[in-house]
Amino acid sequence: MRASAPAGLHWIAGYLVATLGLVATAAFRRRPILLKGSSLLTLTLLFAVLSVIAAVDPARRQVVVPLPLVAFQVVALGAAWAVRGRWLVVGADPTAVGATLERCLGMLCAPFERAGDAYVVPLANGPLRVVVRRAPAGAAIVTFRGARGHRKAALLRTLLAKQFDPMVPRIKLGSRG
Amino acid sequence: MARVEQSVVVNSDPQRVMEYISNVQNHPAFIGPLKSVTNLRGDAKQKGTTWDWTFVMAGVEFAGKSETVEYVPGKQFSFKTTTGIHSTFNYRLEPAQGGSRLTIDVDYEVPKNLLAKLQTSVVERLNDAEGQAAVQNLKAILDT
Repeated sequence: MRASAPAGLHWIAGYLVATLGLVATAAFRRRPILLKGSSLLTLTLLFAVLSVIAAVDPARRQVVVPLPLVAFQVVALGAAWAVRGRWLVVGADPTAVGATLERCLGMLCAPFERAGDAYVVPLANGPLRVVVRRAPAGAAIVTFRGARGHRKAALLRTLLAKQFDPMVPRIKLGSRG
Repeated sequence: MARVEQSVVVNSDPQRVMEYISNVQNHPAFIGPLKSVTNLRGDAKQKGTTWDWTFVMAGVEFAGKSETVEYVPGKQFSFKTTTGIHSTFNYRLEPAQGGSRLTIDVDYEVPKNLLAKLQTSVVERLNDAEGQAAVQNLKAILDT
């Protein structure tokens, strides 16, 4: 692999349009939208792999990745890795997300204590800390720490995620008539 | 009519387990594909009480309605789905060493129209992997 001239900017533009476009459209949806950091990491990895595949030069049997693209990928992957464990809830402030979280904890028979902006849930393999913080534009950032591998911690993540709409709208079938 | 059954011993007394299960708004906490229970019209312990539900599978939401069939404190809670695929969910409890034995069985009809056939896959999935996961989730939630 070798770096080349500043081509490949279309990949950078495509990635920025995709990610920022998703966040921007989430702001206009009627219900709160959940954006998972792990999904951003997957999208960024996919973008990196596709851009490398596109850079394959079969005639010269080498991969020619433009230097600005390499630099951008390193930064984007680093940023996505840093936020992989965080959730961004667009369309709900920390107070609303906290109320939803407390309702979910009640449904899971999970007593908790408040410690600032954190909800501390004692579990058999150590406490689970769920931190709900304010983000720009009235959004909220949710972070989970501890209790890895505990079934109740996994259930809380799943249940809380169900309370918000996903980034990509779903097909809806069925009737209640 | 097809039928499946899943069972688990929960380290909690039958009254507490049945109180939890008969609150149908708790069901999204232990049934993975169940997104929400809404529009509960009355007390789910009363026969004939109805509510709306939404399942999610493979990115598709299936909506429908359910109705309480029977409630026996500490022993049994049954409800049926009344739109789409017709099925009956039956939760039974009996005392067991260390707490309560919880058994979930589901009876469902083989549907005739396409939409109901699609919804059958939801129930079949619940019967197998999701059914086993549901009883293990209940154990994790209710074990004391």
